[in-house]
Amino acid sequence: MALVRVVLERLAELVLTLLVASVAIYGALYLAPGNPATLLAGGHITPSVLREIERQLHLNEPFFVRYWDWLDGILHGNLGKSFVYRESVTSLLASRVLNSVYLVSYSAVVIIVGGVALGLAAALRRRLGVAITAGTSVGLATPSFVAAIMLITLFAVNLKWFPAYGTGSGFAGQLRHLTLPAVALALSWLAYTAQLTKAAVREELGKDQVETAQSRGIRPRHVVTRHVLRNALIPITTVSGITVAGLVAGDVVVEQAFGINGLGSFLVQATLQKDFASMQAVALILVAAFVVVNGIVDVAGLFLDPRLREPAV
Amino acid sequence: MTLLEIHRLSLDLEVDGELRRIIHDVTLELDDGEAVGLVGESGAGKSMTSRAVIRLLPRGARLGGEVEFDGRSVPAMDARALRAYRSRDVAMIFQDARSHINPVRTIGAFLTEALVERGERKADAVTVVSELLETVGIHDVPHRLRQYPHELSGGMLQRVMIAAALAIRPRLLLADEPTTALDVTTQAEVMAHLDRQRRGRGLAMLFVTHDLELAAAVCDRIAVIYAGCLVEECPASTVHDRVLHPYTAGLLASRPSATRRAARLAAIPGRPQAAYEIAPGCPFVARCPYVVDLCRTTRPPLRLIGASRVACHRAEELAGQLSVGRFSGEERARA
Repeated sequence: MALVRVVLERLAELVLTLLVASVAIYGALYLAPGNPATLLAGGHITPSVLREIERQLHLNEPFFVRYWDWLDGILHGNLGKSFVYRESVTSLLASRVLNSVYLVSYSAVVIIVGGVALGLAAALRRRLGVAITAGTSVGLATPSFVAAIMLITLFAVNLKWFPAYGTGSGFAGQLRHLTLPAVALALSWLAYTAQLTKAAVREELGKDQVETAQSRGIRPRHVVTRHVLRNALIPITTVSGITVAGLVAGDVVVEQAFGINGLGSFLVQATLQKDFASMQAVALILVAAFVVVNGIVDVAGLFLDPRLREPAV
Repeated sequence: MTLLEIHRLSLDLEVDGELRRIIHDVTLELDDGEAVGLVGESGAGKSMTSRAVIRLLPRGARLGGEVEFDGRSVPAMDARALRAYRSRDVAMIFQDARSHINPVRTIGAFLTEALVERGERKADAVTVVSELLETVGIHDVPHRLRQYPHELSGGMLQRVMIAAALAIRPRLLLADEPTTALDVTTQAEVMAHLDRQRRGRGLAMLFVTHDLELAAAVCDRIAVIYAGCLVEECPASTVHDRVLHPYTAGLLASRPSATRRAARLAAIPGRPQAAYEIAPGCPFVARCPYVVDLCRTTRPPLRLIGASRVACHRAEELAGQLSVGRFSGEERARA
């Protein structure tokens, strides 16, 4: 029951957030310098031609009318038309969205699996813990563009294990092409997740339920999985969610560095070319992705922590 | 038949890099089916003594002396033997059930875990624990098994803990202040369940408490521990008429009584001392109203006097004179 309620609440929040975000995104670009009409006409134009273009594109309408037209288009699956490519934004994005989804998903898997494994090892094995903490502290301080350059130098140029550029074809090819970008994107978040996991596991290890399990002759392996990791998963999941949502933004840098034709690099190009419709669409998609990931984490939290399922009094 | 034999137990814990003595010298025996109350103030080492029995000690703890369960040395057990011992022979009931039961797993999972872990079928385990829940007064069992700890009251959780301890069919129960965290009316109810089930099943119990009266009511014998030393051990029936150690007399005097009227409740002067603080003499020397020079220099050994064992140099001399009044406010004011 509580589950249905929370899912509905999250959906309502998603809609509301997107609505607010859409006003902010549209408004920011409305206020941004540069007139799409001049851009479109190029070179010398007479004021009358300019006005004609403006009329065709409804640029002379008031803000809210234009915003409403735009929103109405989006609700009908039409993200607008790119002035630069003279193509609908929807079809421009279609080929690129998947590349970004693959990259972010790959990176999320690397972060969660690697971070939790390292954190757990660090918490359970004291010596190893020291090494892992030192390593992850360096990882935490490494921005993704630095990681990208180091990874390309080492694994693509020197060792030639992985390609440095592009997206590849076929599942194996994509996996190979996306490995370095995913690791570059994951690195600092992985370190963060590992440190958080270590702290969460250490905390649970000291809790009384662990003592109870030990006093009942439960095998150490089961004590860790059922009474330590199971409980530590609650904070780990919350933070992993924020992490993965953050990847959506970090994705922009890494796609540029590795020449991946995804949403991030498209956003950069669109911005450089003042391709308003494309910028708006990508920004809106990034916000939506962020909110959806957070919603998924909230629902996952309900499954992990029965105490959250109680209706708030 | 002797079930548990604690012989000259000592325990040191590492605190800030140095070893600290927690238990000096505790010697105690429990027969099959017998209940012994381990009584003392906070920090006296009573809890640690019960934990030593199941070897549930903090990291870096050093155990001295011997703990034998049914002829087997507990400190000498390897990991596998220790697990078998914990999962079949002895069960611990902790003070704070709410923190000792995993909050994210169901009551059913908690109750059946130990049985399933030692290889019993899940369905059988559920049958066993369902019956047990009924016997400790928890009804609507199938529903309860699906609930989580936060959905149950403190008293109910402690009964769940008792049921979990009984479920493994142990021979010895270790109860570490099982009702201290509960409110008074719930305390009586939970204690009644524990007592009835223990007697009905003929289980031995080491009952750790600071409540001498309660211990006397539910146990066969009482062992009083002060600053890590066992100072007196006597049949529960004699606690009110004939105690032999001044500390025990002080504990009795500091309880409110329904028959004796006092302007002010008596207290043992001074503060409880930790095991590592005491000098070579009698551990109680700083707070005892009957101190003589011998007490300061020599630690009294446990001596058998009648049905009791007592560690006091002046036990024979003081027998019968140890009055509750000696510790009470009125008398000290008069002196």
